[in-house]
Amino acid sequence: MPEYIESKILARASQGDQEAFGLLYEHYVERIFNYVYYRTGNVHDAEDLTARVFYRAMHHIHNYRDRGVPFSAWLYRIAHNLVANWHRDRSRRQEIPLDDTPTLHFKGDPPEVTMMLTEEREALLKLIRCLPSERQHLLILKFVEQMSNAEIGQIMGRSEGAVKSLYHRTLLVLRDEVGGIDLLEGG
Amino acid sequence: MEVTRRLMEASKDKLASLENRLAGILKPIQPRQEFVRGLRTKIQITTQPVIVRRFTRRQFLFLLIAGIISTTVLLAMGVRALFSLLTALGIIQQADRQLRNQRKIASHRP
Repeated sequence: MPEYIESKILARASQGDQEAFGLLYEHYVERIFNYVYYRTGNVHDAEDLTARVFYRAMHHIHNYRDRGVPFSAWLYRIAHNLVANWHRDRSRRQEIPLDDTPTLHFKGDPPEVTMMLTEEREALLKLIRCLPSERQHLLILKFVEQMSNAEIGQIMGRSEGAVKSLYHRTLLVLRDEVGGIDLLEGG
Repeated sequence: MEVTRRLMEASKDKLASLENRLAGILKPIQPRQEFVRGLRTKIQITTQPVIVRRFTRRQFLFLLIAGIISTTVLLAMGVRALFSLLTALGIIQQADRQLRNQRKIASHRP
């Protein structure tokens, strides 16, 4: 969505225009869902939290001020807060048996490849979820959203260099953690 | 020197391999269409039209001054009305008379 169109839609949405908010919802729902899913590792909670993100956004959109930061940064901030609350509220982390995990269809992958990736994916995702939240956010934006360091910097409120540095440090930590699992040898 | 170079290259290879692995694992996931449509419907239903008017600084100052003046006028009128009411009822005169009598009595005492 071009920036000038988005700002017009935002202006209308902040005046209470339902259709405008609907357009924003359609544009961002998948991104927010992906963010929440990778932060929680659970489709049901991801759906619940995604819904809450948009309800909260809807009730507070009249307070939104365009300060040169993308609207998505605002939505991600809401999502981040809700995910943080979700983690805090859970007295103990529930491990979902693999059999109960709904089958997710990755864009462009045939089902058999999806099945093969599941186990390895779960192991690496567990490691990623042990990282600090901002590092998880960085990886999600980098790989899921395919954003550049500059775009990530805009959303995370950091410079491009800082994002690059954080990304490198994150990779180093993951590499050390992954060493024991020996994921890198597989393929 | 050669060992250090090889170690660095091996480290770079591992990082590149890790990046490839991450790219293969962290892929966009499509939420269920029923969920997306259902939430859209709920949002449309629960959205109440919010009328938000943002005042400019000038409008805000005008409203502030108008508010102060009208409040002052209202208070003055209220006080005046109360005074008139008490006067009409003779309460003030009565109180004044009582006060004078008390002073008179007090001055006659040895």
